[in-house]
Amino acid sequence: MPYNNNPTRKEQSYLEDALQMENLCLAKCSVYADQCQDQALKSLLFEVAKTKRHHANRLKQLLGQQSNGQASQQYH
Amino acid sequence: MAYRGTKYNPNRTNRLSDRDMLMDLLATGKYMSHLYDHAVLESTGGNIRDTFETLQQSEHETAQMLFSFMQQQGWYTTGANRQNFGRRLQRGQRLSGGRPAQSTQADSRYAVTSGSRDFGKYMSGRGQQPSEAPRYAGQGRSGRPYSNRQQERNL
Repeated sequence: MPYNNNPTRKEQSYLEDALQMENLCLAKCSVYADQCQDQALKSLLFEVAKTKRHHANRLKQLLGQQSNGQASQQYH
Repeated sequence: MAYRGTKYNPNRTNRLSDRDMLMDLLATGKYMSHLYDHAVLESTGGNIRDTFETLQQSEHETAQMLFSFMQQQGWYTTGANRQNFGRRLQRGQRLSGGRPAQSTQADSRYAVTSGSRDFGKYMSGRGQQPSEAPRYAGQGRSGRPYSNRQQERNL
């Protein structure tokens, strides 16, 4: 993903916050999909988890640390 | 669960119901939507701002999906069927989702459209047979009435 402008400090902190929340939401979706009793709900939750994963990846890209395993650890 | 020192058991009564899970995800989504809103307003522009806007849009769509699922199950009562809701309360019926209906003597007529207020009553009344199977949710997606399944689960 091409980006020519580096994030400002403020943007950086929003990106980090957002990434944290997306990861939390992703974790919740997976746990709930595991525990829920309704099959329709289960597939809905998987669907949501998938979009959350996309979001997290996109935010990670903007933070400029994709494929940098050890640096991305701190946001999990 | 853990504080009682027992192993995880999916049939325990103190795990989240399907409705609670959706409520929690909706609340989380609301928080994130606010976060993105601020992020968009605070961004200088360009790629990062666009991304925040896209994610905000996606957050709205997710919330809509969760909400309409809940409404299909009859787990989220809006003002549109408030009258019906109130009448059911007076007859002492329960909403589906295994939660007791709210008290008719709620302190406010507002902001009581969902969630349970009388949690203590619920705890003490557990095990009692509800007088009538709740028909609020009607038919589930699979064609089976959700309310009956929910009831078996929660007794």
